[in-house]
Amino acid sequence: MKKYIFIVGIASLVGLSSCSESYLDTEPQSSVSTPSTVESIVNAEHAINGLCKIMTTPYISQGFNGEGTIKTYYGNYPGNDFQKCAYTGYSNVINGTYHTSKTSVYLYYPWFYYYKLIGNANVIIANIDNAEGTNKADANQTMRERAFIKAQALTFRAYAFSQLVQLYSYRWSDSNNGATDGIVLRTDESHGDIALSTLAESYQQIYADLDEAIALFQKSGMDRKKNEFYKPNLNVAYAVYARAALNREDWANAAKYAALARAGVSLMTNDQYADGMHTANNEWIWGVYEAEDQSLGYFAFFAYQGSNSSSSVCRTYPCAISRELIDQIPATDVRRKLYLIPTEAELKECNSAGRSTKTLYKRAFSEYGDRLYETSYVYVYMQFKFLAAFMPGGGSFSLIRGAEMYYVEAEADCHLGKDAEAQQLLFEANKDRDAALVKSEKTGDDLLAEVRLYRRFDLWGEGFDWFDYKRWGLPISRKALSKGGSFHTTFAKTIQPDAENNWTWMLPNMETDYNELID
Amino acid sequence: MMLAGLFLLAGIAMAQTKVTGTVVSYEDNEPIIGATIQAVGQASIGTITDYDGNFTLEVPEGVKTLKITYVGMEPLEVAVSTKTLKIQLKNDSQILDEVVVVAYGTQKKTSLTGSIQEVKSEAIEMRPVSSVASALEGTVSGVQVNSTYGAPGQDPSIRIRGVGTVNGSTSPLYVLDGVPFGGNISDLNPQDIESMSILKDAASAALYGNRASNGVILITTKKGKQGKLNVSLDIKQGTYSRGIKEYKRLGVRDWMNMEWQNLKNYAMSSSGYDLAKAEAYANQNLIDDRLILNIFNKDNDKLFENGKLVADAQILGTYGEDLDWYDQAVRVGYRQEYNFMANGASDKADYLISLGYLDENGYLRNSGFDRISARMSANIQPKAWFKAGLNVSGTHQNFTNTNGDSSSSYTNVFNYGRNIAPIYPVHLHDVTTGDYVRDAQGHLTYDPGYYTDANGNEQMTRNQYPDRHVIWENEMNSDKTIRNTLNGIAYANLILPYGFTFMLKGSLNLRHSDNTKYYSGVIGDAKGVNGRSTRTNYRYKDYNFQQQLHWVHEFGVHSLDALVGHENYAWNRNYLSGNKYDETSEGKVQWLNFNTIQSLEDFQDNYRTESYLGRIRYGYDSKYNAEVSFRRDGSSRFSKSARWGNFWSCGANWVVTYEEFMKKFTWVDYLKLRADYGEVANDSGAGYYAYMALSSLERNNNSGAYVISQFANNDLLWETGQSWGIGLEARMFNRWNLNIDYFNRRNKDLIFDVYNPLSAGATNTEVAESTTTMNLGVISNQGLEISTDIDVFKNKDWKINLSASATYQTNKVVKLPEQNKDGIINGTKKIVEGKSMYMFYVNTWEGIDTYNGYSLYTFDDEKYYFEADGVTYGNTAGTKISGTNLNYVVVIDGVPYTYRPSTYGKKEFHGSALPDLFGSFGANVSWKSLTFNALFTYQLGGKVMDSNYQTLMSVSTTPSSLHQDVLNSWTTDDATAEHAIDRNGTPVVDRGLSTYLNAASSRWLTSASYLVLKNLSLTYKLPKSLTDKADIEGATVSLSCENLFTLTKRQGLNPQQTFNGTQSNSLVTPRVFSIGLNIKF
Repeated sequence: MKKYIFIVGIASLVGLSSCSESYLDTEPQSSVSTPSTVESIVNAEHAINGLCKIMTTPYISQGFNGEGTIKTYYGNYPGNDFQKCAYTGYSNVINGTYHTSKTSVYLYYPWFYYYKLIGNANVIIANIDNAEGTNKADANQTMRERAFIKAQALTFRAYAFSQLVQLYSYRWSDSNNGATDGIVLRTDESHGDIALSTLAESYQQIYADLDEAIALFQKSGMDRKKNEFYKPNLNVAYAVYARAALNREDWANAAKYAALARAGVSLMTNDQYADGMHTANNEWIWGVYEAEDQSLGYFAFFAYQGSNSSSSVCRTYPCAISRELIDQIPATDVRRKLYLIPTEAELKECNSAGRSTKTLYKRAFSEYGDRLYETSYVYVYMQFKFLAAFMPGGGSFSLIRGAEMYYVEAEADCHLGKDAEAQQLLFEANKDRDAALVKSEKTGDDLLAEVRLYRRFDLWGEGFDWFDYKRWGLPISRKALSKGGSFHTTFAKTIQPDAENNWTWMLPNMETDYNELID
Repeated sequence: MMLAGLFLLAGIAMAQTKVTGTVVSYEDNEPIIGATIQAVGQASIGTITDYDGNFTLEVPEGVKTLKITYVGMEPLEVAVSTKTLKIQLKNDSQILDEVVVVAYGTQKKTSLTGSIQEVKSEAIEMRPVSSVASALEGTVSGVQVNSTYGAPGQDPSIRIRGVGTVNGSTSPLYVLDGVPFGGNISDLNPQDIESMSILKDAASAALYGNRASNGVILITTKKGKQGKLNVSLDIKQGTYSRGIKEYKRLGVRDWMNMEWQNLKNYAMSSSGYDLAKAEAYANQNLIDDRLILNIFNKDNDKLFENGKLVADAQILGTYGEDLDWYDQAVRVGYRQEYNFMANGASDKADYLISLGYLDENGYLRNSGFDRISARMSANIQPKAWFKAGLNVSGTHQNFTNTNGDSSSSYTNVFNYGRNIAPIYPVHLHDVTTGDYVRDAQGHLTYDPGYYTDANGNEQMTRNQYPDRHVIWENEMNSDKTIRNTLNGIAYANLILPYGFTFMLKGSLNLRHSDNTKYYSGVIGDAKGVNGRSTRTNYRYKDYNFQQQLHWVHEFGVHSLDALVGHENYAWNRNYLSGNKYDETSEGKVQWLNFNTIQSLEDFQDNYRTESYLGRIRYGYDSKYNAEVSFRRDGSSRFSKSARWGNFWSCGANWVVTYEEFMKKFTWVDYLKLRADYGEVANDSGAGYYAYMALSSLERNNNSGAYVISQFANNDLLWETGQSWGIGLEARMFNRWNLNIDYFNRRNKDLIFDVYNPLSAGATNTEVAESTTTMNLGVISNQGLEISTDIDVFKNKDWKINLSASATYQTNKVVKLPEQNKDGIINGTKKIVEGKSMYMFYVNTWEGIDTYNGYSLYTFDDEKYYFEADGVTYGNTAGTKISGTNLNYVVVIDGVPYTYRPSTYGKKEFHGSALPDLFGSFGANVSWKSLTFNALFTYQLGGKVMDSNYQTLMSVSTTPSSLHQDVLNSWTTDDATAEHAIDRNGTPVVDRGLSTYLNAASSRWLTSASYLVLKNLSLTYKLPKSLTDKADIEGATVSLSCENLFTLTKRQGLNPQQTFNGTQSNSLVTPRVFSIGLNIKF
């Protein structure tokens, strides 16, 4: 009996001893292997959609949302024509004093965000030529599908590079023809050290990416789907090219590509312009998608900029246009209606920061009640151009729209001495907004100033402000309310082009500490 | 009738002998109370001695011998006699030879070759703690326990013999009744625990292979005890309150003065005003531009004269009593605990049932924990060759959570309450009279940061935390977790011929945790979306299956014992989370009440291991003992090619006192030397799929989206810990115990999330980091552990025992790979070869420049250079500083400094977060039935980066509370004509420059030494005369206090918050007072 048990015991020990070989193979459920994302065109389309998603994702801490943050914290807040009323808690961002704080989140955020975009794009660019087509039997179709996706990824990369040079490198005019530091040109799947390129080399790479993207878009003969305004297509590649060339003061290319970019694009109607800037339309060449079912909550762009947003940073600290800018725009321009312009009497009633609790407050709620949150504070010159599509502050927004391309071309034409063309472009971009508008007869620097004025006004709040002033090499000059301007005393400053490290963000520690090839 | 007949028969058959006697101690002739007298051969007949050591026992005919036993004494057998017996029991010199729970079995303490310390139920039962792991603090040397997180029901963090990992978990592996435990330690009722064995060295832990390098804690639950039915009831009642005081912060008047200074200085530095203009500006604008609320009975611009708040400025109305936020958020919580246990055993079976209920209300108004627990354990042995058992336990736990560790959260009392400016009230007041504004029912109303004036306009009442209110929000919101657990372990032993035993053991552990968070639509984060409800649901399942074959054999003086086994472990977690917003009806927390879905997702994770193991132990005459163990382990965290690893250990000991030559040293009761070496590992530093290149599954416009989330590393391995140690255990003069251990532990192939340049693309969305998980480097920990206790005095009534332990420990990074030779910067620390892993590496604060009051930091003369007055400072091979950036550097006495540490400052090493020495000491005094116990824990050396203090010393763009030390700040009156340095100065208060003046630097490093009175208790065993009357077997009353006081370098600091020397706004240590009653039936 006992022997029998012994045998059974030993047998069961052996029998139960080992598990099958696959026992230790576990697969994640919340992610996929990266190589598989570019195995096929079907997957690679999701990888491209991933690039779009990177532009609209909550990051790091409240306020960081992908592309919207670039507009808010880097384009608008530190600009010349934009005021986040009484938002003194952000004075260091608004007055641009963080450029040398190498560990500040404001310094490293764009580097973090754009290289995330670049890293994801690089995987697609490097591997898409081996992706399986949607119809394996049709080699030509597969070739076209690959070309289209690669072109999209290249456009993303070129865009990210061109944004980085505007932030982390000197303006072109200070660069000794591009001899100063550019950025890290990471164009493969590597994760290691790479030396800085010069600014000229950086622009060469941007051009090269866009040349290739344009050729591939053309070769593919494909376009994005109708509702996919957030994905790049041929027009987007042209537009990114035009912008990069403008920043590089390469006027001929800027004019050429701006014209190409707006082919087939119609400007918004006045109604569309006043609709709140949160719904894609014909004028949007490229945009960022956000919907209620993928809301970023308080992280979102419109939670900082929507006049109707329920977020406290919108209700308590509304966004306003500068008095000096809007005063230069004729009263007949319909766009002026999107701002709360006070009468002299109303202005006098306000406190020193420009807040009204009296007549203007009442007028704001009677005239713009549908564009205000019920407990919003009212400040002079506050805007009603940007409206959240849903609460607390969500909606899609444009990255590049047709009007910008008119101004790019006009500005380039001014530099090329093509005043007549510039006058015409300026007129076309604005004639529907102002019935009384007559074509400008200015020339030379005066014309350039007028093109800039309308660019500032038309694109106000869309994230161009600081970038434009940097590019132009003009000082930021904000006057206090008491001195005839409209700014809070904390923001009433003049910032010269050579101040604050030449308006150039230093490279973050998160790069320089771990990249041996950069000091 | 038949039954009665049977009894009669039995009565006739059993003629009785009455035996009486006294049991005393051989050493001091004192009576021994509670010694057991048992009839040999008839286990059911027995008694115990009374208070004077006397006993009387009726023994039936046929019983020839009595056995007398007492814990700690040598058992003695005496012949039954009708004379009064005088029995002397000798102290058991082999007292240490109790049986200890070890890996995959038990072992006699004398034969242990490794460093194992055991904590018995007696040390646990009296402590009013909800997690049994808390009872380890101060009771085991070489073990650090941080149980200072003041939320009920939380497990402490534990480190055994230092830290051998950077990324990985530093927690030990818990093994419950022989099975790896995947649950939370607070799932266990401390009263159910019989013992905890702490396996500190690799040799003891090697059989747990690749999860053992942080040490292993074996938890054994209580079993039914031989003898009659034991029933006990234990009741504890107590309070739960805040155990550490707040930082010393400025009161209202001082704070107002500093704010005035702040604004004046800011006007000068940012707008270039001269002194007079700046003072006028501050007088004029302090309220309007900055503070918004004026709680004084003076006009906004009449508050200050000569830079001081005017003497006759009085606080209006009831503002004064309403400014302390802590006061209104913190309470004294109540704690109650009830435990019932019954157990018994016969020759062939034993059983135990236990029921427990614990209810802890935390010291924050909205924090609490309750737990109902039950356990049933039964073992049977129907045949000599078969034994089996089942141990099942279940709990139902309710957590009312409070946000206490999210340092910058507005709903965290320790962030909001600490940092809110002292002028802002909790409730709404009429701004002109200062009296409370009451609602229609006459109740006070909370101040959301604004009120609506007569014209229907919102007016701000505070320029800080607008629309956020920690007390109100915590009252409106709710955050509740329900956790249910079911844990079952079953085994069957086949006892085979030739000394073999085959064991099958299996366990299943199910846990379900369901959290519902509700954010009110009235105030706080979800106001903008009209309320939000978040549901997070975790479902865990882990199981373990083991086959073990044991062989025991003794021949002559040799004893041999061998084990081979196989084991597999599977862990599965399902995570489901979603959130909806826009509530229909206010205050209803569940999803039905919400209209918009914001997110909804679920996914699973799996982790598995498989192992083969073996061990051989050999003993020669109990004098020499040796053992060797081996384990082959596979882990699913690694790629197929790198999955399997081999781990092993060996150890030996020598019980010196068993040698002939030691007989003459009669004062040495016991002496043992031991040595061991072992290799174990830690796979927890790697994520579940750490070797793969991964892209996360996202969604954009209702279509799939892939985003890179992890870089590949196919070669990734576990971290291997190699350690050796030697130990000495001794007992001398029959009263002094001494244990000394030296250990040396090297962990190689450390798993690091190695930073790539950020331009490689971030692998994270929450922090700006690009990382690849890699094995690199070697880290070593070595240390000396000493623990000792001595019976200072002992007689019949008195016993005084003093004990102390100390651990000296060092940590050193031995090797880093080539690409990281320059070190790895990790937050405020830098990991470099030759130094501790916890070395702070921050800018060096040098003092202040008395010319302008700015903080001076060491200039980075390696990367930068500049010219001043024709002299060049710094490294001309570096970057030149020119233009306006020259304003950021200064030369004083020929030494360059910078005002901008993050730009031009030099980072240097400034000491380690690890202590030089830590341990505990205590006293145990008993007099008759009264026992007093005190336990202190301490740490000497080590530094803390006191970022809470840094925040309180800084002024930001909005007002916030300030530390009293701000009063020492430089003012314009202190200005010198030339640049000069004051090394003990406090920089100027200026909100525009505060980021630079008060940047993270060596200035905030503070000594982490502490002394805590961990536990104080007093117990009294009620006299037998009294308990007899009540018809109970015994009763004990106890008084206990946890964390009575904490001494630290700076009031408010909690050095035990983390092991790595960081500080955050976090719930502080609780202080628990408890009164207990234990009744045995």
